[in-house]
Amino acid sequence: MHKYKIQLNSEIDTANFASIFAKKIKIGDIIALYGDLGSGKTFFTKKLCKFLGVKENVSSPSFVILNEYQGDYPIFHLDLYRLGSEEELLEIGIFDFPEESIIIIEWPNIAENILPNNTIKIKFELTENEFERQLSIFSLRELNINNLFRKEF
Amino acid sequence: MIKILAFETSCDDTSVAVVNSDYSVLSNIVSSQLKHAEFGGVVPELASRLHLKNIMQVTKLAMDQAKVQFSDINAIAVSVNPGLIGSLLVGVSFAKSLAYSIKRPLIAVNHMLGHLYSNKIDHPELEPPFLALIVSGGHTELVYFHSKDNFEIIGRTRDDAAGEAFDKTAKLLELGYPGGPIIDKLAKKGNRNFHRFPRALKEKNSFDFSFSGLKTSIRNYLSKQDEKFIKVNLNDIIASLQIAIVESLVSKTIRYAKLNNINKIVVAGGVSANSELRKQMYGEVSKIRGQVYFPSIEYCMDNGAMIGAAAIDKYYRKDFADLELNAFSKKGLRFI
Repeated sequence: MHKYKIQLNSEIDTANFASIFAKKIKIGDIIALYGDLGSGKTFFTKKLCKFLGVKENVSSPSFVILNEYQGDYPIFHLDLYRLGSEEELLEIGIFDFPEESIIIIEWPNIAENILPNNTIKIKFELTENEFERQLSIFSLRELNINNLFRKEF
Repeated sequence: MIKILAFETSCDDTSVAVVNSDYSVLSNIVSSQLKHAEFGGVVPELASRLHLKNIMQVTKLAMDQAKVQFSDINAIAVSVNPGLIGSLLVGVSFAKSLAYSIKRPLIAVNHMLGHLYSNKIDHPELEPPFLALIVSGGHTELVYFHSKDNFEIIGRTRDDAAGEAFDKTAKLLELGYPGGPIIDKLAKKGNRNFHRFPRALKEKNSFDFSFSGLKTSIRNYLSKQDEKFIKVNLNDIIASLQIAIVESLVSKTIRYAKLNNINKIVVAGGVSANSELRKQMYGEVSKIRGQVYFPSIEYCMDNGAMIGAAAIDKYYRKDFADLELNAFSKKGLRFI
C-alpha cells in the first residue's frame, strides 16, 4: 500500500491537485472519498471531473445518490450518505457499473467491506485554518504524487 | 372528463394519484404519509425493493379513494427522470405493464416538470411565459418558460441543492433529519438578523447558486462560540442561516425578473414549502408588481398528482411513450 500526505491551502490548491490526480487515474479506477461535511469532497470531485473531460456542471449527488457524466470515460459519481446499510446498497444495484468507467464514491463507509482492494482511498481532514485541508491518500498502485505538494508554499 | 392514473417513484416515496383533466385531484397517496401499520411497521425507505412492495397497495388505495376502476382510466403517466435509477425503474416497469394490460396510452413525465405542474392543481389557469424556481433536496434551477415546450435554464446550483443546504446545515447543528421542516419551525422563534452568513455567487452576470460554502461558514462560526452561547441563541442562528439560503434564492430570481421585465414567477419543489421563502418571495414580487405562485403544501414534496397534472397536456397532444420506454437517472429538464 502506498500512502501520500498532501496539504492544500486553498480551493486553487485543490484544483491544482485535481488536475495532477486526473493524470494518474486509469479506466476502471474506483476512488473513495472520506471526510466530514464540508471537507471538500464534492469540490474535489467537481474539479477532478473537469480534468477528466466532463463539460457539464458537476453538483452534489447526496440526494439522488448517483450522477452519471460522460468525460473521457463514463464517470459515476456516488454519494452513499443517505443509504442505511450494505444490504440496501446491493439491492439498489449500485455496483452494477460497466468496467470501462471511473467510479467516485463520497461517504463510502457503508461500502467498506465490498470495495475492491485496489480502491484509491482519499481522506479529507479539516484543520484550524478555514481553507486548509489535509489529504491522506492510500493506493495499491504507485501514484507518484509525493513530491508534488509540500507543506510549505 | 379524462382521468389519468399517475406514478411517481423517483426517490424515497412511492406515490400514486388519479387526476382529472381539469387538474382536480381525485386521490394522491404518498407512501410515507400512510400509517406505519399499513406497511407492517416498516417505514418506506430508499430501496427499490420497498417501492416494489408498496406500489400495488398504494395503487389500490389511490384507485379506491378516487372511486375509480381501471376501465375509468384514460391514460397512465409515470416519472422517468431524473431520480434514483432503481427506484424510477419500479414505477416505469409497473406503469408500462399496466398500460399494456389495460390497453391505455403511456405518458412519460420529467420529474422536475412535474414539480412545476403541481402549481396547476390550484391554478389551472397558470400558463407561460413565466420564470420558474424549482428547489428541492436534489435540485435548484431557475428556468424561464417562453411556452410549455420552449424553456431555457437560467441558473442552477454549482454544488449543493437548496434542500441539501437545509439538511446538511441542520446536521452540523445536530437538529435531525430532514432539516428543512425543523429549520423552518425553529427559525420562526429566532432573529434572522442575529448573524450574517454569506450569500454566495453575487456576481452580476451569473444566476447560478452555490450553497456549499455555507457549510464551512457555519462550522467556522460554531467553532468560535462556546456551547452555552450556541444553546442559548440556537433559534437565532437557525433563523440567520435560513435567511441566507432564502435570500440567495429570492434575490437571483427577482434580479432576473427585473432585468427581463418578467412579472410572473412560479416556485415549486420540496423547498417551496418553506415559510420564509414564501414570505420573502411574496414580499419581493409585490414590489415589482408581479404575481407569484406556490403549490399547496401537500403538493410541494414528491407526489403522484403532479405527474398526472403534467401528463394532461401531453395527453391532448397525443404525446405518448411506447413500451420501450426506459427510466434514466440523468438530471435536468431537457430530456422529456
